[in-house]
Amino acid sequence: MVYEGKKNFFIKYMILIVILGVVVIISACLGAVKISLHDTILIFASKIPVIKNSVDLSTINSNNESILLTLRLPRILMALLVGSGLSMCGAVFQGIFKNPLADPYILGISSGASLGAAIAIAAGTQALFLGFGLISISAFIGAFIVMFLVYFIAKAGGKLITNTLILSGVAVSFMCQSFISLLIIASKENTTRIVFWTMGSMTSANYTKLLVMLPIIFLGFLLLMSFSKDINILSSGDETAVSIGINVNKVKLLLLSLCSLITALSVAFCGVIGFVGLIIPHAVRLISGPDHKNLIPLSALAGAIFLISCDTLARLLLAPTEIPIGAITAVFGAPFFIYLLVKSKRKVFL
Amino acid sequence: MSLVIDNLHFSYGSTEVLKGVSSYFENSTFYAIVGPNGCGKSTLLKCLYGYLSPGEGTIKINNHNIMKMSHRKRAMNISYVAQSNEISFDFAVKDIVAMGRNPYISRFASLSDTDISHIHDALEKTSMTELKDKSINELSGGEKQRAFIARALAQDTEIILLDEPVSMLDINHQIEIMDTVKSLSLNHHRTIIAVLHDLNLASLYADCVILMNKGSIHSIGSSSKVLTKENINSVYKTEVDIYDTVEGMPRFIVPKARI
Repeated sequence: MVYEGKKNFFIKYMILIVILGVVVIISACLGAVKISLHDTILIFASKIPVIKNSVDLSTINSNNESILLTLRLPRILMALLVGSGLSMCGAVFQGIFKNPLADPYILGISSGASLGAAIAIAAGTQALFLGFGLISISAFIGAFIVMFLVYFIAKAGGKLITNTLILSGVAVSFMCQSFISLLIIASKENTTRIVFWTMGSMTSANYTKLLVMLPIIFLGFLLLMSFSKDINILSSGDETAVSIGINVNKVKLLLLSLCSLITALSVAFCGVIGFVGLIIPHAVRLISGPDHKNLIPLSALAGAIFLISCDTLARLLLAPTEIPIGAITAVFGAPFFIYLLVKSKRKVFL
Repeated sequence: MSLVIDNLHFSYGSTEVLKGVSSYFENSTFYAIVGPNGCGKSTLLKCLYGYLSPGEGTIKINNHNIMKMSHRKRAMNISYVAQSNEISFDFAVKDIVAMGRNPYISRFASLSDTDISHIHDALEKTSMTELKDKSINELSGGEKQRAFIARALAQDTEIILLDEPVSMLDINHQIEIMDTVKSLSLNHHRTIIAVLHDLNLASLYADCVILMNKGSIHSIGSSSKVLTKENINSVYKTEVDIYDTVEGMPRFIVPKARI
């Protein structure tokens, strides 16, 4: 909606794109097997259509190529997609709920997914369906059931009222959490797996999952961008939004469904990764201002950078043991967030 | 422009708040809607711009039923300034005012030169030009309210609705806002429909006062005709003294203390 001064945004986008590229390459180099920067760049270049013929891979260990392309790259790309998805959804949720504390999990989607996953883990299933683990599928179903439940509870009075939506999300979330606790008690041998799953991990990333995530994140991004003006206006409140020509119920429903789908898929594939959807939009708002036209894409870029970095740390810090990525995002995210708040001295937090 | 409401009914659950309200609003006129708390003033306003759908009755602008209009089309005809506007994020004043152009901008388009000139014009008319780059959250109550009036003005509608626009302001800012609003009807041919609690402000500024009681219009007309001792006593259950200045000029209403 900003009608003057687009000047500095190009530079901000370029800086984040360059940082993203650097983080992707560094993350690919690091791991149990160190691959040199030179080799990493050559291997990546060999997969780029226009220049691949001029790349000579004869000097490169074929194991390194395999580690890079089958193990590390899907993980990095998954972190990229999930980080952007959660961050842009966080920005949208904060905008439409007019609440700086909102995050993609505010409607209980993460609890629904966790319950779905916990049920599948407790049932001891390792089965695959169309290339996806039944745990992921069960988590996705759990997320969707919760989404519809929360929506129908909130819609019971006729109008989709924001506070009722958040409260029904909290109530359903608590209900799911208590079922998870019961499952943990009933299925003691699976406790660790359930707890680890709920803390998030990129270990199960593969190209099949990426093929599902990519179009949804990409189309979701385009759709959210096309509604950026509406989200700006919605952050002034429903009454005002209606008077300025926004079909509030329809727009809210569309945006909530879309963000819930992205969140549900992220949680189903990677578990619950907290903090990204909350802090990234806040941090980005300090450099982009509140206009969602810039806030959404810059959050997507920053979220990707943040999550790839956190996943790299999750792999390296206690190698060969892997730390759940949710623990890393919180440990590094919270102090960074506090630093930003103190440094900015701007009123962005309640 | 003609705005006609006919037999408007609205209920919150089983409580009927509007009980068959009918009225006609003329162009370039300042209407003040007054009445005790809970009489249905704000509900009527919310029905007028489509936030609430009346259970029965019609609202027509130039013979078109507003409930059958698209949200955008409706927003090109009626704008609204809410009683309190909490903006959670630090939008600049110019961005808040620019939001008023939303009904005229397609989803993927940016602001046109016409839009920008409307925004500058609105900032000018509300004396907000100097503050246009400030964050809305850094403004005083009066400045904030002027920014939201500027947004309604940028919306370029013939009808502007205001819900208690000065209820939280000191006397200086009250007069400043009311002067701004009055000039819109006097000099810029806007129809103003404002819910007011202060009967003296209604008397001072409104061309026509609508006194509501228990979901219906009790009386409608000039302030000298509507704001009488008898009407006020009957609706507010309060004794008042009324002082007329000069014939035809605004009258002043002073409530009598009960102790």
